[in-house]
This record gives sequence, C-alpha cells and structure tokens, in this order.
Amino acid sequence: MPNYLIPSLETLPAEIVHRIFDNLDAKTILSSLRRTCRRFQTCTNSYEKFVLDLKKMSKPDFELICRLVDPQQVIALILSDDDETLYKIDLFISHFDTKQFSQLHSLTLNGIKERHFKFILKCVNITFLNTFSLVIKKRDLRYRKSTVALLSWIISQRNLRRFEVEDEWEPPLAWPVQCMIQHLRIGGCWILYPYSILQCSPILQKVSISFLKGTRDVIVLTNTLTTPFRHINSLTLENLITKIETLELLLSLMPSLTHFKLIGIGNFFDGNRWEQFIQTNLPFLIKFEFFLEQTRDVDYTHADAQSIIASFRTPFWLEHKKWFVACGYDIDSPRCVELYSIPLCLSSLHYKVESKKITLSTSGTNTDKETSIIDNVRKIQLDVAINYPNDIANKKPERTVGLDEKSMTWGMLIDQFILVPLQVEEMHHPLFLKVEELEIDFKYHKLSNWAFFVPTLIDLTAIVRFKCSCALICRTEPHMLAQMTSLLQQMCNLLSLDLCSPYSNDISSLTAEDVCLMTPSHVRHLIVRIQSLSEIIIVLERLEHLSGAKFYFRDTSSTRPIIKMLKEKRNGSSYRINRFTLYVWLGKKHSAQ
Amino acid sequence: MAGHKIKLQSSDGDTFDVEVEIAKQSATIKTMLEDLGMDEEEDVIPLPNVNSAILKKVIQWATHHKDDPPPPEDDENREKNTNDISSWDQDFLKVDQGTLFELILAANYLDIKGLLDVTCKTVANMIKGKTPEEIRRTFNIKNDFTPQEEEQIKKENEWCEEK
Repeated sequence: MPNYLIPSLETLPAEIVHRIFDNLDAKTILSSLRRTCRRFQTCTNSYEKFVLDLKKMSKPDFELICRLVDPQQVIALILSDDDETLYKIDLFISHFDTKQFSQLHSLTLNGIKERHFKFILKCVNITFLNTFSLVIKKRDLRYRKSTVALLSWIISQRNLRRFEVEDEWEPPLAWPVQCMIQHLRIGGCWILYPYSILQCSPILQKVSISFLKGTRDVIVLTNTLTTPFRHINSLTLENLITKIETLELLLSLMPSLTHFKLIGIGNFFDGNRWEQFIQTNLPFLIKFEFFLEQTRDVDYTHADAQSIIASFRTPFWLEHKKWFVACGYDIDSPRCVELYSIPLCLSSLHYKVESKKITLSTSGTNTDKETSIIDNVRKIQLDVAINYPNDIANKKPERTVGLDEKSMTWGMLIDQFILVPLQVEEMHHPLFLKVEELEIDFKYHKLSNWAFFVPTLIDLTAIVRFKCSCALICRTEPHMLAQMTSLLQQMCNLLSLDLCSPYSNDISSLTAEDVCLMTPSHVRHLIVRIQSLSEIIIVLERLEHLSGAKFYFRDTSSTRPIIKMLKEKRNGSSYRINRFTLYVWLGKKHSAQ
Repeated sequence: MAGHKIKLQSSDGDTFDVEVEIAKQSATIKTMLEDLGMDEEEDVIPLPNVNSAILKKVIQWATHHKDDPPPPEDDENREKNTNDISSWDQDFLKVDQGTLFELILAANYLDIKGLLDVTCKTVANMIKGKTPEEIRRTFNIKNDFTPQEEEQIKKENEWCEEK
C-alpha cells in the first residue's frame, strides 16, 4: 500500500492545471471544466492565458463565451467575419465595447470590414501586443485614413514583434523611426519600397511579401542603397513580376539570408546565374524554394526544357546544396514553362485531369519521395473535365517523349495517373495526404470514373472544406448524386460544404431530400442552391447540426415562413434575406417539449 | 558506444544508472550537474519527489527521446493541437490515471518539457468534448457546489445552451 496520496486531476497544482488548460479551447474550459467543481472554478478564474479563437463557431457558443470570459484573462484573440457567422463582429463589439482586452499579446483580425476595425481596436489595449495580423475583406474609403493611422500606431509599439497585413495601403503606412518587429508579412502589395521598411527595422529577421497578381516592376530600389541589412535571414516573395537584375539588387542587400522563397514570373531560369550569384552574395543560404513561370511567343519544346534544366545539374545544385528542381510545360499550351524546386513550395494547386505535361527533373524518383514532394499542398482546385469523353477509356500515357526513367517527377507521376486513372489502384495510399480544401470543377464532360479517382488522388479524411457545383451535379447522369454522396461521406472531418457554383445562375434541381442526403452529419456550414423557399425550411429542420448556412433560390414567394421557423426553432438566429439569397447564423435549437 | 553515466536515486532508495545525455533532458538534473560539478560515476543524484516506478518510466521516455531536437519554446500564437502525439508516446501513456498524474508531477519537478507537454496533452484529450458530468465521472471528481452555486452556474449557461 502506498503511504502517500495518489495524485489526481483535482489535486494537481494550479500551474499544472493551467498547463492542461493551455491545450484546451475557451469553450471547454469555461462551459465544461469550470462547472465541474469549485477547484476548477477557481483555477478557471485565475487562468490568464485564454486564447479566444472566435473564427468558426456556432452562435450559441459564441454568445456563451462572450458572456463568460473576462477579457482581462485573454492573451490572444482571433476574430473573423464571414458569411458563415453573420453579424458576428457587431455582436462582438456590443459585448465588449465597455470592457477591455487589457492583456492581449496577439490579435488576429481576418476578413473584417474596414468600418469595424477602429471599433474593435477600442476594445483592445495594444501596449502588450506581440503579434498583430489584419486582413480587410471589405474596404471602405471613408475609414481608410483612420485605418492607416491606426496601423502606423500599431507598428510603432515597442513590444510588437510580428506584423502581418493584407491589402494595398494608400496612403502608405508610416514606419516609425525605430520599429521593433522581427517578422513582417505584407499581402496584396502593389509597390514595395524596401529601404523605407528595412532602415527603420533594426531587428527585422523574416520578411514575406505577396504582391498583387499581375503587377509589374513592384520593387523600387534606389542607387544609393548599398548598406546591407544583415539581420534579415528569411525572405519570401510571391507573385513577383520583375527583372532578375532588380531581384539580385534586392537580394544583395540581405547577405545573411538562410531561407529564400520566390514565386513569380520573369527571366529567372538560368541556373548558372543563380549559382554564381548565390556563391558571391548569399553564402549562408540553406533553403531556396521557388516556383517560376515564363512565357514567350514561340512554343517550348522538350529540347528547351532540357536546356533549362541542364543549368541546374551542376555539382553546386546537386551535390553541394542538394537542391533539386523540375521543369515542365503543357503540350496544349506550350508557350508557358514552369520551373520549380522540389518539394513543391506551393500550398494551392489548380489540377487538371486532362493535363498533358512534359516534366523533367534533376531528382530521381521513388514512391515515398514523391509523397513528400507534394506535402506542402493544402488546397486543390480539381478539374475533372475532359474535352474528348470518348477517348478517355483508351488513353495511354502520352509522354514518353525521349524521357529517361530518372527524369520522372511528381508532376509526371501524377499526370500518368490522370491519363490512365486506373493505374492509381496500384498506389498504397492517396498521393495528396494533407489537402484540407478541395474544389471540384465539372465544367464540361467529366472523367467517367471520377468518383473512384478522386479518393485515390487525395486523402479525403483530411478535407475540411469542400466545394462543387450543385447545378452541374444534377445536370449529369443519375448516378451523380449517389457518387457525390459517397464521396462526401468519406470526408470525416468536413466542416464546410459548398454545393453551389458562383458562376451558375441556373435554377437548381436539388431538392431538400437531395441536400439532406448528401450532407454528412458533421458538417457545420452549408452553401447550396435549392429549388424553393419551402425546401430551405426542410433542410434547416432536418440538418440540426448546422451552425450556419447560405441558400440561393429562385422563388418569389413570401419569406415569412422561414422567419417564423427560425424564431420558433432556432431562436436568436442572425439572418439576412436578399432577393434570391438567405444567409443565416443559427441560434440555439429548441426541441419539441 | 555507451556514454558517461550518472546515478539517479528515487524517493524509495533505488538507484538507476543513466547516461548523462539522457538525464540532461531534465533541466533540473542538468542544473544540478552543472552547479554541483558532479561528473563522477559514483555521484548519486537524489530525487526525493519521484518514486522508483515513475523514475523508471521517466528514464524509459527520456531514452526513447534522447535524439529528439529540443522542444520549441511555448508560443502563445500556435494553434492548440493535441493530435500530434506520436504513436510511441500514445502507447507509452496508456497507463492508469494515477501513473499519468505522477508522470506529470515528475516531469514538472524534473523540468522535462517534452514529457510535460505530452502528458498534459493526453489529459487535455481526455477532457475534450465532455460535459461537466462526464469529466467528473472520468476523473472521479466530486461535485462540491452548493445547490445555490449550481443554480447560479446553470443560469449563466442556460440561455445560450441548446435544450
């Protein structure tokens, strides 16, 4: 018999209980643990590290947390505004306008309207902010001046280390003389004056800039700029369209870079030039990731691809740095060539079943390696359309054009599967294992065995968001509904289901029965184009697990029955009904007594 | 090749020979070794807060993880992910609750961040998704609220809780 007390959850010291809390969300702590016993009520009251992630939440949970949490105990706040949670920000402001998040270390505002920004900031003490992130979804010129002033004020905070903004700012943000940030990310950047940022930021280490797509010559450098910024060790440039000379000038100012990621369009395809430049100017570079495109008026050929890749086969690339690359072009659009480092550094892919790519690589292949090559991909837009439906059954791999076996890459591997989809049976697991967001596009004739093919390409258990067009679901053969239902049931972590193409104005042939059949019971948010208003009521009544929905309809009958149903069965719902659209963030359920 | 060893003594008097590099995963032991200049194989480090059975488990864990990179610093911004427990750790922590909480206390006392993280995550996973009553049942917790307190808590929650 032990002569000491066997420890239990209840008897753990408060510091350890708080450490367990660090792994739990606010709802579990506030509405479950706190209500267990006095000890945990006390531990909850003394816990000062609440992370309030209010991104995707049911309305009853949102209201519960807003009522129970003391904002002074919150160190991180994540707030987003979207159709899934209608009027959430207004509700948040109404809850906290007289209180303050006084100890906040991290503030993330994702997809908010510009008019809300300053009202949210009124609820927050920014003095202790270590991290700030902002994505404005809906700009409002009336508030632009105050937004820019507030952002400049936030950057100047001496505790701030990470600053991320997504938008084009006009007037530009005013950088303080001494800015203490270490990580900077700017998205949607339309012009970059690196000097104005770098000279004000003596401890800045990591810079990530995503330029507005299609904007050219976006980096402005002056000739007087010669002093290197040795504190920068990581640089990411996305959607860059500029000349190699400009890029080299910028990089030469950052001689301590250990990581460089480049996604862009330009004359960046000369491996020998990169080799010389890196050896001379970037001696500490360990990781070099890139995805580059180049177009010209003449078709690329296999010989061109071989010529491009030859400059990346030197001992510097293959032996010294062990940086492997692939180069490819589509036979159907051969005026654009892609060059990318392996593993692929893109998180999002547009994936065509009928792609006919020629791809060469400096890396050998084996199945395990291929899997890790595409592990960075989180989002796939999958086009299962085929142009010549009668050909697909007899399709054979078309690209044996002078490639030796060692030159096959993930791209080629995948393309082979696509051209001969039955070959995927030989795979032991799907090719893409970490894709969370999947969009399936059926614009034309689709691959006949698409429903078999998709799960062999993508691990469906990892999918959180799924989108496809319902109008097209019903336009095709009768098996389509069953196939889609089967596919959706395999997505055991699916939270958001969008069965409505934004391009389609068609009257949907989907009935409430179809929608209820297809929607798995773990889905929380549904977007669907449906036949009539009365069908919406059936869907909302039957799919009780939904926390929010958006319906498109072509029905001019009265919306009163829906409003009545929401009041009676989902009291407290936020909703907005436009002419042919209903948005709803559902209130608490009332079961029949 | 086996590394230099030290002796760790549990609260119930048992001693364990452990490679220094394995033992140094404990910041407490690392500090003792550095502060006291203990580098002889005969030196014994007493650990009065850890019994033999638990110390044995801790050494087993530390031996398995001896080549791991140092655990990352606590980051307030990281997502709360408790699904990243390795299968070895999951098997290792399939123990009764008493042992699990003793491991937590030992990891805390010995200051082994990796072990403390994974044990706390395991407990968090046992809590997630449960109602107050289910948590009480799982951890054998007595509901010590007075009826008045119960009523108050119920009121705080009821208007937005689903019926």
